[in-house]
Amino acid sequence: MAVTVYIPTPFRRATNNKDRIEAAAKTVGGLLDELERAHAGLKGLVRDEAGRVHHHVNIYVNSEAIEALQGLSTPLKDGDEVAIIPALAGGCR
Amino acid sequence: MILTPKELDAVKRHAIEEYPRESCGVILERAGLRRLLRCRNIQDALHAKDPERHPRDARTAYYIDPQDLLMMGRLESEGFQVAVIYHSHADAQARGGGTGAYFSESDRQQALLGGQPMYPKATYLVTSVVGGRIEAVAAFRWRAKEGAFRRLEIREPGRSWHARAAVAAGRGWAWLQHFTLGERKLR
Repeated sequence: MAVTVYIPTPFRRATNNKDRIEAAAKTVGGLLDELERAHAGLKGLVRDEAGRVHHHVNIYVNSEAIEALQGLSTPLKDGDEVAIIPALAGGCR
Repeated sequence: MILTPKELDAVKRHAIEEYPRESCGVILERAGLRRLLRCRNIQDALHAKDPERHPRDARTAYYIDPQDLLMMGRLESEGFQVAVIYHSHADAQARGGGTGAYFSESDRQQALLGGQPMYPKATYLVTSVVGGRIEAVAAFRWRAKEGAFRRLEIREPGRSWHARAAVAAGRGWAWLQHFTLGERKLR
């Protein structure tokens, strides 16, 4: 068993078009490290250089936003489902 | 085909219901099966919470509720693909002698991630609502060769002269309201 990460279309160009990735990390921050090690193209797309998640990227653990949990320190356990989803936004200006 | 007449009606209806706020949603497709997902625009909540980071409210911007994006993600993982991403502009100033249905700078910026389109195969649909009535609908899609979003033609049944006149009157009314509110602010 491991953690399953859902990769939406905008990030798949960095994951060889994989839409699901299995990971072994124990926290969300550790998971992002693991993903960036395995898929270097993800670097900069999800986090900035200081390691903060971009404002336009939302991360969920079992459908719960990590802001409502413990942020990047949110613990992960076997069977958890993580989704990393960029915002869809815009407007008339 | 960009969208079916029924979907176009639903998109327009959504835009009118949300007016004077911007509406937003997506259409997903899997092997000919299409699903329209009306999304919640949470721009007002973001603006209320942090007006510095989000200076615009839902009258001039949209931000799809992350919960809706999660639902979209679930459908994507079931094999659906994002075919259309739609939103509306409310009482937007017509540009270049056209209408308020244009692809704005923020529409363009937000559709890109690291300089590449987030959904290169999706069509972005913009509906202009003026004075509570549909003024125009326009479609835009990424052209890889040009590295830019370009307008596509949408075939719509001809609109009657009275529908066009109503929109023109709405634009006048919106302008008058803007002028009156501006006057009030000055006092």
